[in-house]
Amino acid sequence: MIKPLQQAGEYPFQETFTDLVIPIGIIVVMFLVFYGISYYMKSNIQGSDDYMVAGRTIGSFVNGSAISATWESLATFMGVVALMVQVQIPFLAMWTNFLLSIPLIVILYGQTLRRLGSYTPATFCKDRYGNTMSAVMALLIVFVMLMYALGQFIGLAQIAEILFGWDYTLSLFVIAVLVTGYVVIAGMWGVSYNSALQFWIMLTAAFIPMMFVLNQLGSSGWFFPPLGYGDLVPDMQQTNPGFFDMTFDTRWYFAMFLAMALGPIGMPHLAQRIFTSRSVESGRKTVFWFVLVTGLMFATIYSVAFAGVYWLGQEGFEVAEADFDKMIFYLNFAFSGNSITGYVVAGAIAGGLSTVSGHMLAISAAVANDVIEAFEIDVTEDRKTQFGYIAIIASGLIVALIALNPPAFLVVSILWAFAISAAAITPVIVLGVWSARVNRYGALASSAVGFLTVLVLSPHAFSGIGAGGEGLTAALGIDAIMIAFPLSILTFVIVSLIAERVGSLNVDPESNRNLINEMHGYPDDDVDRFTSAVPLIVLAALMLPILWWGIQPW
Amino acid sequence: MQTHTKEALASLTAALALIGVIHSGIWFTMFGTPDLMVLGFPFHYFWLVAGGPVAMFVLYWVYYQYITSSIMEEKKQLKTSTGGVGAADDIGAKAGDDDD
Repeated sequence: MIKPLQQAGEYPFQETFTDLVIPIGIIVVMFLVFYGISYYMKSNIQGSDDYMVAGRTIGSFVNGSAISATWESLATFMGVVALMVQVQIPFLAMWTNFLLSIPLIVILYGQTLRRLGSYTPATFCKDRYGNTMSAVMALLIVFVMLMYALGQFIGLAQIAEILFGWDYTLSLFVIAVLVTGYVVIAGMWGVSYNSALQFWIMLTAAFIPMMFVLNQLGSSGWFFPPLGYGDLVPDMQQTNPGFFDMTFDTRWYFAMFLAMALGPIGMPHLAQRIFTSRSVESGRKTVFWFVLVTGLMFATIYSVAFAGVYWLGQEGFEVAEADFDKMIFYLNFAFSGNSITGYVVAGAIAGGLSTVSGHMLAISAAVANDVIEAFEIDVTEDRKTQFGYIAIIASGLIVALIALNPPAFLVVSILWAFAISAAAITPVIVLGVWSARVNRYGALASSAVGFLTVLVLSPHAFSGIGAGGEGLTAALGIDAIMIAFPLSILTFVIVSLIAERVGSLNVDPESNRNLINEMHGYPDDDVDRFTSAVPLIVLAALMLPILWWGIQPW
Repeated sequence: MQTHTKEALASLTAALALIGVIHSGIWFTMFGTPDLMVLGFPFHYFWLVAGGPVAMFVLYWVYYQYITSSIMEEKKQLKTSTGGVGAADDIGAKAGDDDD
């Protein structure tokens, strides 16, 4: 484990750019290309379908690359490396869970909602559960997306700090203007193609500089960073004997699974990408590209974290905890100098732009489409698109204001968003797709219980009330998910089945028949499908030991 | 077995299998992994970095083959037998569509 200094700064290695001409040139050209693509694609935007889901025309390769960039985000360059440097292998286990999310989205609901023509999960909730649940889901989406975007804004502002030496506040508002302007022009059409390009910038910005770094560290497999540094392992085990230890107990990893795999499943900016697919078949094929390119990207980033720990250990350097986020830049400054580090910074910016544009479009779709439809406000298509633009600008401003007082680690607000999504959004969508027996009463109760449990038990809103975890788990608010998720599922199943038996609530599972058949691609033949209560009862029963496990002292 | 039951079971199995291959890197380690090195890395590290994602790709391919060849074929036959009532695959498909 690296021993952090008490304060940042004054390291015996290069911390920031000494020559800005080439790095700034790279970044300016990159922004011009992004804005150019956005401007070119703008002519395709005729209405909200084009603005929010790119007219449902995106192919599997572009979508796979775009999803990967949106999914990886700036955190891949900064937060992930920081937590890998600090937490080491347990964080790798945690992050690998994240890789499950896109295949699970497609398998569990992406293809069905694409078939249904949804803009966001809230559009589905309107059809499946009615207007009230749609409004609740839209608000949850806005909240979760704001939290997620917060981490991206903070990271982008930190990059501007490194680049220009501006203070944090100025950096933050310049970034907010640049990012918001980019998304307003682009819409989903421009954002999709830009995100695909951004992925390849990210991959090359991580991969190629790491070849130089590993070569200079003495690795014989330097030409393939994802798996080429095995010969440095014996030295790593000498300088950092605990690097490969799993450290935490089983429950920690299970909580990570709930948050990191089931949380992103409910993330609308990821699901929305599947909805942009040109067909259900294309949406399914997207997963192949996603796993391929993301696997490559992640393996490369793990090599960065490994090299960072290895380099600090070999040289005997110490880095302040608050500076772990900048580790990838320190490493490249040390081995490759200003120009190549400029390209690495461009890769990090590309990651941030891709993700935050996805968040803003998800917020835009939730406000301009779902909230308006949930409250049955009568507006024209043009006015709806204008609401979308306004929602993007407002979200940029709100995130920038919240980011003025940022958490210590970039990833904290992101992980909190995951926990809320896993408990309040994912169950409502997935069970709504696969069971005709769940209903609006169960969905409303489940979302409320899931959201409030995470809110109360995590340390970010009410400090002093915890779920029993200590140390990193509690600090990240991840332990709350061990209670919130099973409670949410239990509430959903029990309330749904009870509501069926209360005559005055008028719950009729058969009323969903056509919708369920339609979303799964079955004919409208009046056959009831997915109507058994047994799977729901089995699922609820499985939640009991998880809940019991979660409430035990950690 | 009815088509929708097969589809649900295939989806559940695929989801559990994908979760299983990623988590095996964790569980093997916690319950005792053989002292095995792959490409110079401890087995659990290699599995989390590369083995798991490759296994995930293969498992998804198996799921994809089953859904596109078997389940989608049965759905087509169901639609044919009901005279294409409802034409469920067309719903929501817009420009560029060739749904399923």
